[in-house]
Amino acid sequence: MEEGVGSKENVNIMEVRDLYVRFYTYEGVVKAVDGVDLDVLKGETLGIVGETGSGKSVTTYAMMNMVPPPGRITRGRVVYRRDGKEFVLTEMPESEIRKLRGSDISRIFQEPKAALNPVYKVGDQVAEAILIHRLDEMKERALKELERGKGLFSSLSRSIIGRSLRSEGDPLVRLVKRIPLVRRLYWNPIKREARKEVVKLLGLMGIPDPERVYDMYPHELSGGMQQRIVIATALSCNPQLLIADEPTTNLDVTVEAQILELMKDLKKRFGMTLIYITHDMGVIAEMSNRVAVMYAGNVVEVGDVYTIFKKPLHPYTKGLLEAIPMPGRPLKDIPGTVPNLINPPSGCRFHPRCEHAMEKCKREKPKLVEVEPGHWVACFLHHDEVMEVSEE
Amino acid sequence: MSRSGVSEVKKVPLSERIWFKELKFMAKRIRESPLSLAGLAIIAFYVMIAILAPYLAPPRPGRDPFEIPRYGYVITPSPPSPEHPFGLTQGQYDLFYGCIWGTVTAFRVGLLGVSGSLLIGLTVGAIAGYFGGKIDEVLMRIVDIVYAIPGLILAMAFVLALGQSLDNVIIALMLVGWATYARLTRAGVLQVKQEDYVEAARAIGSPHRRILLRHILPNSIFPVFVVATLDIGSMVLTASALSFLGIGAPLGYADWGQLIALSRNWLIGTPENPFEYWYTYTYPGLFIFTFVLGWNLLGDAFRDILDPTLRRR
Repeated sequence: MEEGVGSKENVNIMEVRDLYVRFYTYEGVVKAVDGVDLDVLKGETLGIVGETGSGKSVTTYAMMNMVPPPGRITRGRVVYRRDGKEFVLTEMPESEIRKLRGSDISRIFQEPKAALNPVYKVGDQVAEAILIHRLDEMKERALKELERGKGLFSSLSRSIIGRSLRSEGDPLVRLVKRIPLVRRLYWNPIKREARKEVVKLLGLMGIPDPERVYDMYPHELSGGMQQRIVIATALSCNPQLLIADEPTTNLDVTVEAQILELMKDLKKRFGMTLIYITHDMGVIAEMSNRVAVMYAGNVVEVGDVYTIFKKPLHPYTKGLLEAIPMPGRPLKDIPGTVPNLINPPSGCRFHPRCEHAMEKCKREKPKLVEVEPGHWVACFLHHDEVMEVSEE
Repeated sequence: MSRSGVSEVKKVPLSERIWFKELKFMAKRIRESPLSLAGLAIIAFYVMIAILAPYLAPPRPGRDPFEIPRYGYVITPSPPSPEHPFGLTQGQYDLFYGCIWGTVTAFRVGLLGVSGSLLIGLTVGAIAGYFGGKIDEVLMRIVDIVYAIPGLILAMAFVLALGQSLDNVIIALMLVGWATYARLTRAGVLQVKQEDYVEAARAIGSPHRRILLRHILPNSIFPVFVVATLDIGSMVLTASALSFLGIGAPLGYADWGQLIALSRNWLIGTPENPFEYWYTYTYPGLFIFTFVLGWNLLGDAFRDILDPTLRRR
């Protein structure tokens, strides 16, 4: 597909084209993502909404090429752009993608308690990403710091770290790194710098007394604090693209408001692009510039946040908006449930629940088409274009 | 990010440090449980014996300390006497000397055997559980094969193939014992692999080795360690059984199983006094019994201490 969902090519930080993700389970093949096209514009906040099981999370996992097994990307292209360079994630070797994960594309998880390893101090967990992606930077800082120190140890440390900076596989450095105790000469100054960086970052997250919190274990912190730690980990290497997978779903409302405020603030400060996944339309309205609505593994409507809220075109989007509880208005639900994705409905996947369903909807799958500038919809009520379905 | 004011790393007082609290917590748990205290006392007692062995039973100069001195060539055992407090067993081997140096042997067998099997088992189990698929299938079928053959028989086969010596007994125990740890480790890894923090580690770009060693193993090895402590005792029992069957340590080597083997013909004394040779089996039997009991009690204590769900500060 040539023309993407979005606009000018050079401002797309992420392009997903014709993406198919399948989960091979014992019950059958789950068609979790079925031909998704999606663009993420640099600097924007893209909200992805949809019911549970609509493929929101899986699509963003595919953006990092880390769909958890038994899932696999069976077709499609995921392209990440930075400084005019293209990275085709679906074709890169794992070791190369690893360099992008965490440093360029980061992820915040839904359940902060589960996303933190119970056996390590939270500070060390934040530092882990820094020590993976910003090691050289930390080494340089450590060197600068060590120049002030006199003593035998600091000069030894200085020479080891200096050597490791000059050449990656220096044999002496590799030897030193393997000897217990002696390797502290190498690691301690570096870790000290990483610690300073983490403490500063925790402060930015609005964590009081970050120096003390660094040494705490996850269970000693509240949910809101844990989520701040998770966010700090995700931001520790200045990612270009941050994927927030329902980061506030498990927090209570007041903490949710704080976290949303924090994320907006951080987005401005770090100048990154944000993908915000949620099923809460209120949060979407609050956070995003553009919205993509997903249903049963398909993107059904994309547009800027005002268009989606004021002039929704797809019956599913309309249904979602009417399902927001409001005083003085009877709550309407969308009849039926999300279809089983092992045997999804033919044609448009929404047709069994759609009050406008036509004969055509049962047979053909509508293509995602730009019906007005910046507003894309996949529905035969608004255009006649059929999407070619890949048979497998 | 710009580098604004550098924060200084504060020193945390000793009593506030995590590892210090942890030690205090462990000490408290041990104090509160009399059985684990007993286990600890027994093992401490044996550690003392093993350390003081050269003083309790001085080896003869120029001879291997593990060679039990014999005082004559008479078959019939001699009862305890001031010179030989536990008496002399069949072939006039000194029982006291054998029991004392047998302690050192027991520690060697137990600790080396268990740590060797742990190393093999952890590696195999972790790799199988983490990478899954064909690797898992192949490694676990090997484990099944090891399981399918009775442990003692397999150990005998290994010793006979490698040649009869105590070192080979230890190697045989390692080659037999690792299967349990491999299964346990794999189960733990499979469980922890599903956790979000593993996914989170992947999302920040951690390599496989780091995810496995830093995030998965520390959260899945506690049960393996508990079983390992319990196994130290049973390793010693198996080694003794091998010696009893005559394919363990060579004749005259300071080993409890060996001493039991030597008492085999003297379990029943003369018609007038059925317990005439009681000292030949009582002393070495008592040593084995209490040693294994000590490790089992300690293993239970470890289970309580290391159970992360019981942790409270």
